[in-house]
Amino acid sequence: MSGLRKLVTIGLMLVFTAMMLGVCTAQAQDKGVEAIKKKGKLVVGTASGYYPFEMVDKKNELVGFDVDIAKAVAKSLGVQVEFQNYAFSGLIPALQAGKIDMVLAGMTATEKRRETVDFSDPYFISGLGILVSKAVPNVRKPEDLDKPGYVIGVSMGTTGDQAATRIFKNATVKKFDGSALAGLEVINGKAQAVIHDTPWVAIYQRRNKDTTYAVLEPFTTEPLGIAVPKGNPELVAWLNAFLKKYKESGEYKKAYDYWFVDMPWWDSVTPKN
Amino acid sequence: MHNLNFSVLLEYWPAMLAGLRMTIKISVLSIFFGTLMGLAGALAKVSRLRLLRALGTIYVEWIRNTPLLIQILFIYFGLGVFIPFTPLTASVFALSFFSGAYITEIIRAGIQSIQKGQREAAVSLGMTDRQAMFLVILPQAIRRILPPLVGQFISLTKDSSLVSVIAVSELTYVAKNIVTVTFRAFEVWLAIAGFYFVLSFLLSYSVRTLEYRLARSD
Repeated sequence: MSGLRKLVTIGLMLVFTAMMLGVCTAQAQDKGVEAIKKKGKLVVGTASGYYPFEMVDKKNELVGFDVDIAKAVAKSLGVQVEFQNYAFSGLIPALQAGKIDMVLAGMTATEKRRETVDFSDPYFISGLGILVSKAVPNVRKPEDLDKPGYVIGVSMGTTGDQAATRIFKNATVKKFDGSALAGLEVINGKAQAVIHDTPWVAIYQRRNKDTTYAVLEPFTTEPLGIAVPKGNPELVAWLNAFLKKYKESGEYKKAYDYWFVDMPWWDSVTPKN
Repeated sequence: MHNLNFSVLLEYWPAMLAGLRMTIKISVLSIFFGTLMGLAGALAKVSRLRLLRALGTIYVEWIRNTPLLIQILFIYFGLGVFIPFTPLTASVFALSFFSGAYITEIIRAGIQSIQKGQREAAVSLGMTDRQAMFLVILPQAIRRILPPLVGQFISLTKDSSLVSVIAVSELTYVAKNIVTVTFRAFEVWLAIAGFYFVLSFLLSYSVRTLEYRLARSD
């Protein structure tokens, strides 16, 4: 028995060492524009559920404002695009581990995140709003909800999470693997509000008119950027040039009008009821 | 580029301990109620009443053929619309219900492994069926039930990590939060795996000691 145990221990140690080496070499790979072109594939990490940036439609296809940008980036690079859907809080670890080339998930370029990843120039300026249960009337700002016994839902790892954790001293903040689950808590009466970006709040409220109302006056400014692994100034510069072209060519306005103003995608994503 | 930095573990140690306490609390409660459900289920499955046997079978088959994650989500977000579950009660309910089915099978097998002669002897000595079950059969069955039962307890402790999706502040939820804030996925998840390892190992070790003591009394 002792001999077998020794063998197993050594085996585990070898596997562990191999994993560590694997981690180190993965970081040493070049993640720049050339590497992506050589791969022939752009792997984009996203977290579906943030209307209308990334959503899954009735055919189980990923669609949205961010999705369009990702597809345009891939086209401009001359490669295929592959999307990987993560829980929002898993996106930056996935970027660090080299599983994805970039993140397009309505992610705000915060100082804290810039310590670990790099961001392109902002491609959208959002702001945090509040989805409130109709059982709690007259809420105008987050502080109105800071009462003991109140539960505030957020999506773990988002700036909504960070803001709520910062603001609420008496209410409890509950973090979920996605804003949809947080919203569900409000609808089921288990939470009083959700703190998330205003585009999401507006759309979610529109789908749940009997149980919720929205505070759409943003109380923060959220510049959304494309996240890439650190140490890739060339990729960042490329993305910034791309975004400039995307805006100047009118493609940006077309996409913006489609996803935020006219919204012809509504029926293919949301249920009829 | 990605230099490992285990000092974050020291910084967030209190938070992890708080999560560990919650995991232990949920596991202990679920083990307790799960065992009660398992006992009830096993007695139902060996009962002479066909209805009880059927109910027991339905219970076991339902649980064993659906994923635990689905059961948790169904209970909290589904049944939760009608029943005011808190995340904690939903977790304990789901985990107890889940393990109860597996424990049912374990106890049932243990009971049925005791020779028929034991029950016949007990009844011929004047005991009722119920007395025979609780005074003669079950005490003998416990020795055989203990190893697989503990295996189930260990599984339950590890499975409790799933309730992190309904935002219960147990170990895995706390870990997710720490990773979100520190971005140190490797260090944190390695440490959390370590926590679960220690929990499971302590559980199996203490029961091995118990088994040894019980064996000595034979």
